Amino acid sequence: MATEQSKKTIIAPEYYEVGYHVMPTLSEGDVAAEGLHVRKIVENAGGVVVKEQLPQRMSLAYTIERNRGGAREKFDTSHFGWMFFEGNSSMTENIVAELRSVDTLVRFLVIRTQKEEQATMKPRSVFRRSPHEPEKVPVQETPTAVTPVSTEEIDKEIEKLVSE
Amino acid sequence: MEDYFSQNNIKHIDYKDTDTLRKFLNPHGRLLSRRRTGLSAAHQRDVARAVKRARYMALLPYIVR
Repeated sequence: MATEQSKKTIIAPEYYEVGYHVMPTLSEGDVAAEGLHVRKIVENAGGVVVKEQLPQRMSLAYTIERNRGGAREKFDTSHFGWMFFEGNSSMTENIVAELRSVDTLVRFLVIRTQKEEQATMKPRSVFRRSPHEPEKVPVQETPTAVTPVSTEEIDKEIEKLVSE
Repeated sequence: MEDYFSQNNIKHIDYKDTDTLRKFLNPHGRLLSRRRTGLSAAHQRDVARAVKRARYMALLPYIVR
């Protein structure tokens, strides 16, 4: 019984995002091929690509330096691309390990995220807005006893009022 | 009182959206305090996380001299 219930529990899909910078020295065709290579890495690890933006040229906010075969390389521009995929944490470990071995990637970042349409505001109602704000005490309404009134009594009352 | 993200119905704070993130940085590229941003505590944390990711990915500078 317990096993049946555990089988029935639906595991919510986890969404991840990989952002990456491709070397600026590559030609346009090579950059596109690099984007496809990253996609292949994600798919080989078992990830399902939901959304993707192929690498586009951009100037970086600061110079990225890295050591490659004893030579120091500096990058002021790059091709930045990203991919949004469905997967799990063990998959991302493999993806990170694979991406580390790709020499043409200057830098990359794999993060857990959520689908935009699934993103919900976190409930924060447990906290008061301000510590100085007085706490609202719920007012309990006491139920008033309603006595049933017959139509004859109402008629009498109306007659009285009319005669006055 | 609603903050910037609640008013604009932004549910997910993306590290790639540098134009939005720049609203919460001072001219030196440092994060503004919550008192200055007027964000809820959760949104302030989300912005801080997104800015740190954007800095790592060289989308935003660590410091502007």
